[in-house]
Amino acid sequence: MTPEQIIATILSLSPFYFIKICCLTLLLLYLTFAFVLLRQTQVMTKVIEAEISPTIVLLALFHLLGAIFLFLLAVFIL
Amino acid sequence: MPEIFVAPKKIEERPKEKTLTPKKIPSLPRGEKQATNPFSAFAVMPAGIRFETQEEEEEIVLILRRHSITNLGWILFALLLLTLPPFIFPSISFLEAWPEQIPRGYLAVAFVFWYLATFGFILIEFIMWYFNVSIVTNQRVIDIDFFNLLYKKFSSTRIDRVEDVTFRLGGFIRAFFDYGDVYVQTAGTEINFQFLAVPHPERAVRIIIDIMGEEEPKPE
Repeated sequence: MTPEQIIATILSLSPFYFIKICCLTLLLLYLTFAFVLLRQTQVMTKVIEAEISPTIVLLALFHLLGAIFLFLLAVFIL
Repeated sequence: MPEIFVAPKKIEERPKEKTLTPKKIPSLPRGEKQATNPFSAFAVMPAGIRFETQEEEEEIVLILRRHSITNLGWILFALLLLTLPPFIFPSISFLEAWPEQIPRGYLAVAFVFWYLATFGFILIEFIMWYFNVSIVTNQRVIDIDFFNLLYKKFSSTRIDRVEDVTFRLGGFIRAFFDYGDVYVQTAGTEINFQFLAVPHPERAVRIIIDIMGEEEPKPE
């Protein structure tokens, strides 16, 4: 494939492919953030052990699962 | 030849190890009730709470967080974020404001992302409030600060190193809701503690002074 052909193929693609890639990158970053939030919540609950600590970790886990779900949703419906 | 004088052998004294001296387990501070609410910002002898470096004989006397009213700003913002999508997204759909060329899937993903990010925002704000605590035990004063999700500061000093405890309460809102800043000054080069925007600063100071009084050696 020549460089001209590659450029022609890229130009023939719908602009929504690029928008989709941007969206997926953003959601991947959010997924990373959700994972950091879960890890940090676990660290915090070790520093202060309270009765509600497991509930807080569970909420952070739900948040991470939500981020995974959203990423997969974006992969399939965008 | 008989020895006239024999110097007594020096008994080497081992340097005393610096350990936390066991203190008696405190009773409930006078005029205070034991906290039962796990979300209390002023919890006296809270049950079921431990911290990372807590010694076996160490008992938590007081846990302080920022006054709950200081959370009002982010709570209102979160409520706004929660109530906006039912107005914004249908209006985009019904008013045909959404360009035809853009697939509707983006709208659905944006809708879910909005609520997920709002949930994340609420969670962060809550844990930053809940885990930023100042703890007074029968042996130490401890300040645990999480400045953001990635940076933690843990500082503590023994209660017998505390030299002065003061509080500052000023302004209409602070006076109305009875919250202010408590300053714990320690001896020498040790760090000083600031418990900012904590509820009932006067009671907090009294409790710390009471514990300091228990620690002072009694005259014989």
